[in-house]
Amino acid sequence: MLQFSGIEAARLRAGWVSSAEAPELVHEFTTFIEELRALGPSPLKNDFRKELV
Amino acid sequence: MDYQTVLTTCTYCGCGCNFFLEVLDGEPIGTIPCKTSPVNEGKLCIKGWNVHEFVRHEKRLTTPLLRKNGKLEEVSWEEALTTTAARLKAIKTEHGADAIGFLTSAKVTNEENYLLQKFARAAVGTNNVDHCARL
Amino acid sequence: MIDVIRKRVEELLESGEISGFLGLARQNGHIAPRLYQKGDDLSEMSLGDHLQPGDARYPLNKYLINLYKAYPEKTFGVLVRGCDDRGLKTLYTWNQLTPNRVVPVGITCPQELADRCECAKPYPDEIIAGEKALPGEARSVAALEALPVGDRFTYWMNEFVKCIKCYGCSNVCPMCFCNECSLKCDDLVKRGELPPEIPTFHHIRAMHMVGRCIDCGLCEEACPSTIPLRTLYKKMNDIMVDKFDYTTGIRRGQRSPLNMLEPVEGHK
Repeated sequence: MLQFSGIEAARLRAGWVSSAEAPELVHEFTTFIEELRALGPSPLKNDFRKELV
Repeated sequence: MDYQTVLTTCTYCGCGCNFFLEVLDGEPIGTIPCKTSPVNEGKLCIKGWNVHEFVRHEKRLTTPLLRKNGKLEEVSWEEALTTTAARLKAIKTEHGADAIGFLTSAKVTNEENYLLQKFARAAVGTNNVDHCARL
Repeated sequence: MIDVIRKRVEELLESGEISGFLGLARQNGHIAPRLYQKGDDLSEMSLGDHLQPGDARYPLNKYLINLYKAYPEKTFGVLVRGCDDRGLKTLYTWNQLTPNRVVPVGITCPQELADRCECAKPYPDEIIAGEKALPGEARSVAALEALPVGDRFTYWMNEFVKCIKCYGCSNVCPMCFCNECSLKCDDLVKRGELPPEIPTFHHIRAMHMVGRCIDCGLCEEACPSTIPLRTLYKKMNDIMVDKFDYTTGIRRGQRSPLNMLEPVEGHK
């Protein structure tokens, strides 16, 4: 649905990490943050309301 | 079992959206926007959608209230009208007719609105008339 | 077509099989929902066609629930099109109505309406009057998917931002019967904020229509801001077909895959 609304699929990630796997969790976070940085600022930050209100 | 859909016009503003009030055994239970109305074509705003809720709302006034010693008290129509007339006269004598303003309502009929502006202009003598539906 | 329906309704009422028939009537120049009872004049009956076919459809099932709950010993007839029939089946599954107290009187939709609605099944299971039309060709979702992702985003945000938060989409929806609505939960949708947070508001509603939306399109017709809600929910329904092979309201007794804990056939 996000994709259909024009939000890149790469901006959402669901991962399964056990509470005993701290390094995996850190890895998930760091790689996701890197990917998000590469994507640039979120289009959702634009204020679509401004013109109307 | 008595179920009626009563065609009526929204009383909230001057647009005049049409809807049906769903009435089950004499109690209004829902609002159905009228699809065939050229005004709103089956659409309503949030106020219109919930219009059936105010009809029997406990906070609606059923008797006139008069502020006595800073507190609102229930009074008879006779007392309310006498007080209002006396105060209007007093204000008019002291400060002139333009010190008085009249606010009318979309919740009453056109005829009642006409009467109020007539009263303001002819009886009191002011053009200070406004209406909640003057969007 | 209408004469066949009148005859059928008269039979049902006369025989006592139903206590009331919830249909439509032409009254005061408008088309309105009306409850017909034994002995009532059926001459003003309408099937919801005003200026063009099906332009005065009402969520009769929704009103039926009120009557059904107020008179728990009575059986009701109701006018159904293909979408209403899907709605009835889903309402049975969600325990809002029971089939033994509801007698659907089915009519088909003409091809013109099926095409306009892009309806996958423009006729009920049991047809009392009318000829089956072919399913309407689905175009709206594909047309949007053909856009580049950025344009699609701009398109939707410019639509969503028009929302005046009238709650008309859920008020008119025959599938919206929850006592507690997520759209009225302060943690999800901030009270008094207009327009609501986008696209969150519309996505919350879309998520809650999963397995419920019967694609009747009344939400879009009720939207004062003409947001193409039907296209949004059509996409959601497409995902349900694609991932779970599930179409809401097509099979009696079938539960939404998202409401089951047991494994779904063919899926791990």
